[in-house]
Amino acid sequence: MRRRRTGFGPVWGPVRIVVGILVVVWSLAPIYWGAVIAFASVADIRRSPVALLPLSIEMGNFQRLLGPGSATQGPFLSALGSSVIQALGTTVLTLAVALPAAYAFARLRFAGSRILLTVITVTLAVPVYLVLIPLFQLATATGQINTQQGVILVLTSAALPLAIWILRSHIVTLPEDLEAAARLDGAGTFRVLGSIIGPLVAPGLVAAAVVTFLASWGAFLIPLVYANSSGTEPLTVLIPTFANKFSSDYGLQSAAGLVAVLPPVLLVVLLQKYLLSGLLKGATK
Amino acid sequence: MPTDRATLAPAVRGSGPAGRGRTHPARSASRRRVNRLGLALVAPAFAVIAVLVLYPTVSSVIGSFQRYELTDPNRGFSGLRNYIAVLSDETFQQSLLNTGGYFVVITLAVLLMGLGTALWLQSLKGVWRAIALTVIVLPWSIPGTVAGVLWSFILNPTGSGLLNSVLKSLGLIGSYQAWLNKPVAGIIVIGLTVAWSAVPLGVVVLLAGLEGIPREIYEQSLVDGAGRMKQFGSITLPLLRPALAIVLLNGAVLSIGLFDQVYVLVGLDPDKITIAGSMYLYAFRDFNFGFGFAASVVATAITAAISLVYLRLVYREEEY
Repeated sequence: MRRRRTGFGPVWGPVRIVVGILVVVWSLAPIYWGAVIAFASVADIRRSPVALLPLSIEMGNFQRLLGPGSATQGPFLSALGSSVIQALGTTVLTLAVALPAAYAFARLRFAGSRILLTVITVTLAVPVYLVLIPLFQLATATGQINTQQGVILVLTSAALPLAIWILRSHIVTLPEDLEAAARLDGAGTFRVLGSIIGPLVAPGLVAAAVVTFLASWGAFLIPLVYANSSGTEPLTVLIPTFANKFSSDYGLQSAAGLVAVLPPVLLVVLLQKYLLSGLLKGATK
Repeated sequence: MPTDRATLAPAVRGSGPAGRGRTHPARSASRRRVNRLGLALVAPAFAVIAVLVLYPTVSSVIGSFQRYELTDPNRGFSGLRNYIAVLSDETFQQSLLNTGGYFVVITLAVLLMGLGTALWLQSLKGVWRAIALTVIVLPWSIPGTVAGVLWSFILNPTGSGLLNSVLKSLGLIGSYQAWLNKPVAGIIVIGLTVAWSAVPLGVVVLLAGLEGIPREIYEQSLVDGAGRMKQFGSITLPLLRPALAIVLLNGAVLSIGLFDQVYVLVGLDPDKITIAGSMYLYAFRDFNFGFGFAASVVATAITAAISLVYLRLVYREEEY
């Protein structure tokens, strides 16, 4: 049975297969190749011409990266910790601040709501590089350079407008009957928020959380400026310095890269549905 | 997008469908309550945005008209001097040119690959589509600097360089090429690695746009005798305009603010440096904040101008 779609006539069948192969190879090749190198022995990495399939699978590179006594172990674990603290901290803070605001924008018509929402929407378009220097001055003046909370605050300000948008667009689509019933039963706004809106809003909350986490896990320019010392630099800042310092040690670089790639890949694979709805709401509103 | 839904919550509190705005004692008391509650709920978010986004934005614009070097106490209003200095700086001019190159490559890639992939996805159903979407979205989730490192393993001109090795085995090149060091090819190759991260969002938006086109329009046009290419040109593309505009906007914002992947692949090499890269050098290598402000305002203005052009030329809701 052929479906009538926006296809291109009789050539569509074979074209479809070719496009499919290209899409999969293009999307996965860099990740695949990074993994092949990360698990390869030093000798196999140097082999030329390369073998497309793994010649060896061993943990040598990870051992050199993380093993006891290795020079990279301390800095790498510290950066991994910073990445986790900054991404999780930003996600929690962003959601805590965005959820009440998104609820108010979706459900309450209060004085100034339209202008405030417009302002927040416009800030979606403010690029990071435009606010970089004043925030650097601000952070220096208040002693927040190279502190976890300083980076978390800046990352939160970058993630907040999108999180509010995603949550607001989600809350607007929820049925209001339940909320009204609870109100008639005498539940206050915070009860309504906690026990009724909360569970209903969970999918939107997950979408906003995933988008925020991925954005802060992958942030580079912000931590490069506000968290570039050994105690606070995250993986995204440390890994490029590895690429310079150990420029010919592809095994070490790829092992480090693979660790940094693992959380995003897991999130995408496990929470794809929420992520897509979050992306769409963020992109199309 | 103002929505009248917002009035419903106070309305259910028993004040009934009274004409809004006219003074009814109970109504105006609840009005004040709603105002207070709304502002209280929004206050934390607004405080963060005011201090960490609005204030620095204004501060950058003002700063771009001031002399401000960290090492020089002599500061103050300097008119357009920062802009003139930055725009006549050869590195900055080169960064404008490079960014233009990245912009063209990324825009074309996001449009063509995004549309092709979205059309392909539309022909898949159920589990297959979910799996394909997961595969397609993966590159988007990977940090830009790590994506840069991963691509360097493919592009590098030594032993494990995948691209060189494969091309040489196929007899397409005689010797290993340092792709990233070539002036024009380097920009194209780097642009494509950025597209690797950028295309997924385009695919998601375009697929949603395609799915939003009512099937009946295609069926009607088949009855009218339109071919598939004709359908694509006269139905799909016009009705996809809003989605295409979003994809183009994202591409512009991303390519003009480009920094991390280029930084990892070629450092701050003047031949490849982006506007954001030269802004970084002004501010955090030379500590000339005035120049940094001017560079960042120029980049923002370019982004805004391109966005306006897209919104006027591309974004248009078509009537069904």
